[in-house]
Amino acid sequence: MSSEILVVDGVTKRFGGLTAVDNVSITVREGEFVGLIGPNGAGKTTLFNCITGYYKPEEGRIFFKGREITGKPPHLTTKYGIVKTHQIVKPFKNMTVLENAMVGALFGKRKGISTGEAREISYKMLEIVGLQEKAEEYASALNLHETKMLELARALSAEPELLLLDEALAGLNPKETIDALEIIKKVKEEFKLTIIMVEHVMHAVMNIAERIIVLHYGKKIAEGTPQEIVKTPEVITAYLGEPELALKFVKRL
Amino acid sequence: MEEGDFSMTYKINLSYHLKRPTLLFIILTIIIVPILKLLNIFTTDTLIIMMSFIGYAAALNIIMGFTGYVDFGHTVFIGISGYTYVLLIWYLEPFNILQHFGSGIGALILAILAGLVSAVVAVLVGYPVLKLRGAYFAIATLGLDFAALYIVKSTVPALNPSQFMAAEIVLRRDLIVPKSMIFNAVLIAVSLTLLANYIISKSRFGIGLVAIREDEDAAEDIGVPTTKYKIIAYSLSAFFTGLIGSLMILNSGGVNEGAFHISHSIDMIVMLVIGGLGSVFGSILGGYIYYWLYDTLLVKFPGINLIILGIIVIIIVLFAPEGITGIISKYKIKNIKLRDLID
Repeated sequence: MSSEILVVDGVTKRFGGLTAVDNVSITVREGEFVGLIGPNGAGKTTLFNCITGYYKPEEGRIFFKGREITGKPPHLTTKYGIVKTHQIVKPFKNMTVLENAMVGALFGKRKGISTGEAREISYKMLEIVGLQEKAEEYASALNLHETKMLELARALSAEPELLLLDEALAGLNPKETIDALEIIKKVKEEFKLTIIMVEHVMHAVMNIAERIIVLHYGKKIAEGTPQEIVKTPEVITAYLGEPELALKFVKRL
Repeated sequence: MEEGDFSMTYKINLSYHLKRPTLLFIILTIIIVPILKLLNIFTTDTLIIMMSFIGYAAALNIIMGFTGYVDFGHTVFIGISGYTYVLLIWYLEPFNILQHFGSGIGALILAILAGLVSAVVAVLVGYPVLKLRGAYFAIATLGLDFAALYIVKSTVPALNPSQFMAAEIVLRRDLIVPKSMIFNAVLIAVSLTLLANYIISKSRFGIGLVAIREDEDAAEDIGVPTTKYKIIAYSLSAFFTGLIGSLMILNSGGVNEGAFHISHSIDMIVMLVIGGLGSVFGSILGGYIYYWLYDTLLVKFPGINLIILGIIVIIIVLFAPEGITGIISKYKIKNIKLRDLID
């Protein structure tokens, strides 16, 4: 029986008059692969930012492995084992690819790590995502696909237990998407990760996630296996609006 | 050991194992300056000022080069430490501290104390000020400079031991401070500044600072304690600026409001930009070149020297915004990337 690694309990985050995340509760078990979906502006990234501590929620509490982490700054949650990749890629452009990943290794979970060890770990992660050839290049020289993979390698170098992927596949072409999914599956196995993935590439989430959580206007409107989710009327309305289109979508699945 | 399986398995490119010669370059710089003095190629005074330029550039590099925070009010630390230093000399005068230690050590120890005062101020103001980014930080540091000047103006006349009017404190006339003593103290101070830069650039701390410069949010997300690191970098930068600044105040025989003048901040920024931000090599080069330009133009084109200097600076920023090290690091000699040599 796997235990709960992340508990989000009634979290609310407001920006002025807008409630971006509205009383959301989710529970993630160790080793799970959860997809977090919802239309634009549903509050997915905001929820991620509450978990990592970038935002402090107005209400609710967040627990990671039984420890309360509500409002703890991101650099601390990273050390506890929660690492996020960015929707809008944020490489350290004037550092080499290897140095980028080394930041993760040096400041991640492991304490008292030497630069030599950090280099080895980072290099291994670059190999996993297929960037070892580019290790010495500046990060600014990478294309979008490579930059996304660098984000992943940097996050992995921090040796997370819970990996939050914020649209890791957005903007990739179909082949790159398939490759990236393979890599994500592989690292999940190899490092026994728990993953929450925000994704717009529907078929990808439906294929890979064991469980889907749907947010809409900041509220959780559905939760279940991919098969259950696509049949939930609220989700269909929220996501697709047009009932006929929705029917087509469901049939194609 | 759990990480044992990683080691030896992954061979990294050779260039990472090349000993980087920056340390050698720093040591050379430290050795060359006394030789220049012995050979009488430059006057002692010239060398002191040239070294101080290099030291200022390297001190500012810690916050502006590594961390990426453009500080327009950095001269505030010359002012704070300068005033502290002169007051220290006045009040410690009965103990004859400058003479006791000979060879510049006394002057240096007092300068370290004065530098520490700047470091403490930097820690105190750093927390609120470093929450600001980009232009807002630059403006806040300017404000800090003006505020500090105002405080000095309103308090110093009351405790001015040299009994000058206003906020000018001069050293006692019978205090003999030989140039060679100042030279030694400045040489050590600048060497310490360069070595600190080198150590930072090779450390986990330094990598964290560069990550902050490149993307502060991403750095925080990946585990860099950004607030703490920025404050440490700011106060280290303040310390070394104050250390060198107070020795230069000693060199000029006293301190006045001019120590807070923004032109010092701009000098420092320009030196660093000419040399190349974030590089120890760049600080040395920038400090030296700026001094040379400044001096040459003053002699050859008195009166319009600053106009020409300004034009040269504009040209450099337009065509080589990454500074001299930025240009150099794009080239290779026989498969050796020059970037690796000056990194």
